[in-house]
Amino acid sequence: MPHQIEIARHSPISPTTPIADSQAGKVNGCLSALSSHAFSLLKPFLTEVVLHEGTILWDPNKRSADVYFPVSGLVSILIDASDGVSVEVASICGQAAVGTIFELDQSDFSTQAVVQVGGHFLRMPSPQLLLAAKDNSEIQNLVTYCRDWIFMQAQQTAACNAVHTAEKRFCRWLVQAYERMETDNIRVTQEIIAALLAIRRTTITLTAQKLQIEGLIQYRRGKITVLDRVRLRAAACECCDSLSRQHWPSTRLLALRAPKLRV
Amino acid sequence: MPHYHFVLKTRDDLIPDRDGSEWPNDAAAQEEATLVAQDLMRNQEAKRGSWRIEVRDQNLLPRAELLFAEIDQTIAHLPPELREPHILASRRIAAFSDALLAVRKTLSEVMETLSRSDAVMAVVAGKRG
Repeated sequence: MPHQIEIARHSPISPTTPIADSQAGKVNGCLSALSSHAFSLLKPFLTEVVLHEGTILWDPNKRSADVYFPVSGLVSILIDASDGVSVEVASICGQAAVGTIFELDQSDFSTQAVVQVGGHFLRMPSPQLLLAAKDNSEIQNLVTYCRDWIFMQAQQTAACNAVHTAEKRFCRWLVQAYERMETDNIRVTQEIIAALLAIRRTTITLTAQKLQIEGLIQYRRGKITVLDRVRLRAAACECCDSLSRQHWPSTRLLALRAPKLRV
Repeated sequence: MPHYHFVLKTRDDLIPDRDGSEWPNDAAAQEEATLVAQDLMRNQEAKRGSWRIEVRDQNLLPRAELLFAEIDQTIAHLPPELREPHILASRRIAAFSDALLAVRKTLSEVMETLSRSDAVMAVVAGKRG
């Protein structure tokens, strides 16, 4: 049974409200990469919400009218494969935004988005973002880069699923999770990872046990702690490099502004 | 519902399944072992033919052992005279891996015993002194 979206602050954030997770001091990379002028165009429409694990942002029957900027947490974009099995084709964390406006506009081809790791998000109506993008090139870039990011991941995931082993894919998922959420403590169950990667939960259990014996991770129910980032990355497939930091929407937005910032 | 554990035996390691999981009967547990084996050998079929999954019951007693080579779908189309040598070779490698693991375990136990005896001898020597 999916959780309902719980709104922590129903009213738009005040001008003094920081774009940050108050507990972890995190920010959404895309929003913080914008100039103060571009951000001021979006700020009046942003609402801070807390989304719990299992929250469905949209599914094939109900498209989302909003865009979400994760501050903490992780959202999976899933494709329904068959027999009720949904496979992850992209994951979105604090370096990007997520919403159906970044998807293909085809009524008969649709995805599902589920919050896999709960956290703080900033939400705004999609039409307002698209309207702002018409008048501001930075926001237009934000929309383009977030769209690129989903397609890049989908392409890489297709190749990854076809040729890499279950262990390497599991390690890749963990590496991407700790890099994108910027934490070594990943609050996720083995059942969820198994479903996302379309492999048996027992396969994940045995693989996690092997990684734990080797000192790469420690796992308890509902929580995986990364103990050795370097060795975990070495154990993952090369897809980690193909989807690394320089491809994140936040990094690309910052790179565009970098020459101006230096001046 | 009965509780089962799935122990993975690679060429170098024995990976336990500490928590285990519930399955209706032995046949369902063996079916799960088959699906897990297919997960683990996918794209590495040639290298992992000698890996096995042992199905154990709630008392950790072995109920079945599955050799990956025997359920390798990539060679399922081959005639028996081509499949059987691969399965036989995989079985022999598996037996050799078991023997090596047993030797390693014995060596580890011997080292531990020697270490303890050193401590005892040190105490004895101290009393005599």
